[in-house]
Amino acid sequence: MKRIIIFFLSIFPLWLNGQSKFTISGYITDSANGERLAGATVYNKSTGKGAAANAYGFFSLTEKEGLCNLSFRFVGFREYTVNLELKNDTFINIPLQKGIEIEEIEINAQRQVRGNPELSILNRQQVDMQMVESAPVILGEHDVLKTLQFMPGIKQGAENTAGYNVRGGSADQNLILLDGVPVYNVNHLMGFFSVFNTDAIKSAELIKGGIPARYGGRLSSVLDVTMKEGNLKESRGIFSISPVAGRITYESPIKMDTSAFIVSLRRTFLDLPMVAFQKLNGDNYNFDYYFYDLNAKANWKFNPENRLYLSFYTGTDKLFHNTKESKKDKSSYNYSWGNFTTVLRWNKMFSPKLFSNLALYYSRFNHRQTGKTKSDDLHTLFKTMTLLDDISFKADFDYYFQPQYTLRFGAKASHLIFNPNIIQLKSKNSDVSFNEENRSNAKQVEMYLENAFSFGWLALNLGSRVSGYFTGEKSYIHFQPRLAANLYFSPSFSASASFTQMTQNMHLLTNSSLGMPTDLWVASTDKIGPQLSKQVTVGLTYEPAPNYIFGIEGYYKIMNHVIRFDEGVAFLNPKESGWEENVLVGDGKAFGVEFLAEKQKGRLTGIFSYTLSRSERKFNELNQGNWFPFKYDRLHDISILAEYKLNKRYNTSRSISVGFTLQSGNNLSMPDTEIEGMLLPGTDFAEHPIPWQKKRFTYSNPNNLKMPAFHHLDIGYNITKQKNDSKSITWSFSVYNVYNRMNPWYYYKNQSGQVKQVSVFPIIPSVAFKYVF
Amino acid sequence: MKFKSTFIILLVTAIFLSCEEDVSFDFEHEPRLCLNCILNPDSAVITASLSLSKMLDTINEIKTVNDAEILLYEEENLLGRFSHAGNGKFKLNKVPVSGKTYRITVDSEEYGKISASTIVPNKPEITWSKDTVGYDQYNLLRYNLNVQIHDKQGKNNYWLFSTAISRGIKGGGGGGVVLNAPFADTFNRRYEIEEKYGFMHYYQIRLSDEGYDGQILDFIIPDLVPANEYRAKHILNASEHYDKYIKTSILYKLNEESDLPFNEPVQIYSNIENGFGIFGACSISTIVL
Repeated sequence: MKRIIIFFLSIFPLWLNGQSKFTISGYITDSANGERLAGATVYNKSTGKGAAANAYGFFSLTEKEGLCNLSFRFVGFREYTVNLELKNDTFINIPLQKGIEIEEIEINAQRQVRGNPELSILNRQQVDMQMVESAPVILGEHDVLKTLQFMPGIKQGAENTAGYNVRGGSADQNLILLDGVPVYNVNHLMGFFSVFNTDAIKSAELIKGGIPARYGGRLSSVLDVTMKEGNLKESRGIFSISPVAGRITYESPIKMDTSAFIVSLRRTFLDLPMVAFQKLNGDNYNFDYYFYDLNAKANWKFNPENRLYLSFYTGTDKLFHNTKESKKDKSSYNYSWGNFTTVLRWNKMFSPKLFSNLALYYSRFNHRQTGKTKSDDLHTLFKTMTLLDDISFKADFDYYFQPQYTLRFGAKASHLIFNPNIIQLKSKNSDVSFNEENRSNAKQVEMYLENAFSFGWLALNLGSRVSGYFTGEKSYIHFQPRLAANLYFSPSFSASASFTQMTQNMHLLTNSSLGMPTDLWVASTDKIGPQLSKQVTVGLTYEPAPNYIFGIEGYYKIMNHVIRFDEGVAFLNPKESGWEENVLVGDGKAFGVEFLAEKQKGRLTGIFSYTLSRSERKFNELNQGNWFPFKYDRLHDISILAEYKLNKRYNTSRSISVGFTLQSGNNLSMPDTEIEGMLLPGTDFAEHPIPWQKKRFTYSNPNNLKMPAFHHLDIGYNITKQKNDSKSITWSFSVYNVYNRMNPWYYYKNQSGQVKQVSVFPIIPSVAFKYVF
Repeated sequence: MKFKSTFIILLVTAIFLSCEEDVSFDFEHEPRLCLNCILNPDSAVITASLSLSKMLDTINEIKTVNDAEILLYEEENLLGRFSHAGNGKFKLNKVPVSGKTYRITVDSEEYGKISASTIVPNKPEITWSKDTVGYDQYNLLRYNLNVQIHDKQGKNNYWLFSTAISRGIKGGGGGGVVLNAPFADTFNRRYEIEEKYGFMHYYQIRLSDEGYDGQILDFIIPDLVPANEYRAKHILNASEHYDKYIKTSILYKLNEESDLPFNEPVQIYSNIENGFGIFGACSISTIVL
């Protein structure tokens, strides 16, 4: 009953539709290429009212009849002003030109006009793509996910991996969207590189608290990555190369100002010299590894009310090893994994106040492993296969009732197909398959409603999401209320609070943080239910000047039904039992305080972040049911990412960038205690009892060992020579881990019991080249 | 110029430096009591072992504890006081009874108090028969052993293990076992492509009555050969805590034997409050072949 009341309370503003006024609506775009600018703002200087463009650059502002003095703005673009006499509903397209201008006073007044004004700077973090491009990186590969890890509350798993943990959650609790489509495995090469090709990305935004009701499906965060749309004005391209991979991107109008496409390909080429060497050497074996990503997107503007987008992404890692002793004696091993996503989106403007986005998407993750041996009397085949298919249809609507009130609502229906770890073993005498019973389907239906209010002094988002998950014989229905509020004491000072309840119907089975392809996505089942979380945040934001932002935020999060592999399970074990038998279900809690200082413009830009946090887990089967530290429980985390632009000379701009990270070490379980053991049943009968059974090695609690503090300093130097308006050359020099800190990557015990520390990333210099044409 | 060359050489060398090194950790370890005691209704003497935990990688042997008072309670009534039998061993001449709850307390002046409880499980009710299946490549007669466990209501945790005497030498407990049954726990089952079913259980087999509560657990132990001296198959019904102790012990060993990186490590299960070890119970039925 309480839930029903809350639901009706959350939709009460439906009845608030007030007096008749006129609406100014349209799209805000980049004049250079026609790309729509999500988050750009419109501000009526006459009335002091404003609105922000949605994710598709659409804005809608309802005003009384009369003169409107409209100002359109976006970071990095010149202000565009329009004066119009509002007599009826008006549709306008606003092309903004790149450039720098901003007057502090006006900015202060307009500060509250922005996308999601109810979210604090620490709950919603926009990734500056320019910062991504200039950040010092390892092996010249710029990466959105690695830049993100400089933000407070976002911690990497193992060193230099793309996987990240948000506010004490695990890596699978992050919803990662590429053009609105979930990407299930974002890692290449054990997670050292992410699947996101920066040349093809327009923007990225991460929300980790006060998550609006339009997002759902994961407990900890949402990363919304948007691909470039394709240049509607002229043909452009980017060629870039790093020591690891080469990239080529090309975008062009199909029909000027009406339709365009973009294609971007990235491929590693480290394997080419290796293959050449093997060929020249006449080896009877060959070994190869490579990965590639292909992004493509096209869009058509049929008329101002309708626009269609078709996006496509595929990426694959492939590793193979063949040996040929003779024609009759050979073996081969193939290992490949990757994603395929495609989405067809239709932006439809039903009226100046009602905007919709309808999307039909398909996302697949597949992982295959095949080993074959063939000789005179032996033919064996070992095959494993994991497939996850997600076919979904979703509809999102934005209804701009008043400048102060926007209603967002929508629904999504998904059909999910899971084939985790299907195994086939074949020899002369047998042909057996395992885990066939793990094949499962699930259906998911979700609906949401968001009420966004912006009263000037108070921005509020009150919403709810209902998810239904139907699998096997069981259905899971969850009601997820969301609340986020930002109270503006003055244009520069605000206090925020949020409550978020989330449900996650899918689980990632992993016992490493490395983004291994063997990680399995599995569905909630009759036995293993969805993960649930509740998070509360409170924070303060202070913006003393347009360029400076300071924020502090505390959070407390509880997680139920989190899962982990049972003890002793290894991700590469040739084990054929069902996954449900290998997992434990328990609870988690995380709390902490985050601090952020950011300078957004000027010669020196950058962020300083500090997080003080705790994250713990509890499983009945472990540690006598007591709480113990989460693997990635890092008490302290300090990160600095900064860029200093040097004087521009002869069309050449140069900058120095610095990245520094200092974190408490990860935790790991390592036996530290020796105790007397009981012999296993029957062993006491033996004349020679087995020595290992006389003692046991154990530890007082899981994750009992704190690894040494993790830190490294990286320096980058970027030179960009602007040849003309459309052509530029950029050289990026980076030195990763300048003082050659040997951060532990993992530990293992050798046969003699000696613990070995393995460090993977010493000082690594690199250079990358980029040509824009 | 010379500096430049040296710098480049240093950089290149740094990249290819071996990044593996020996490390040792300074764990803080305070010795705690470790109690091992398993109740068995078929035994007229209950034995308890008392020792101290020690930090791993120290050269000293495990130290036994001899000056402690150990009491056993049956349904919260004092059943008896263990007498010291030397070398950390304590004995009590009592026979535990299936279905009853026992609590053990240990009081050591130097190392404090520990305690634990357990319920003695029922003896497995089994029937069995042999089926001759032919001769193997060495012309040896082979037979299958058909076993039925008549499970009683409630949670039971069965373990299957062997003992044998071969050429005068006694053996038992470990080894690999082949068995294909839906109620066989797969935690220690691994691929063995040459085995009859494509897999094998390492050390012992755990049979779970989850989903089979109160039913007959019917299974076949395949391809046995007649024993010349002595061979027996045992079905052990373990108490909840003892069951977890056996399981984590085997998991730990399998982990140690594995050369795969990134294994989830194993904490040896213990139900001893404020200490280590195990206080459990079991009842065993035996098939002498």
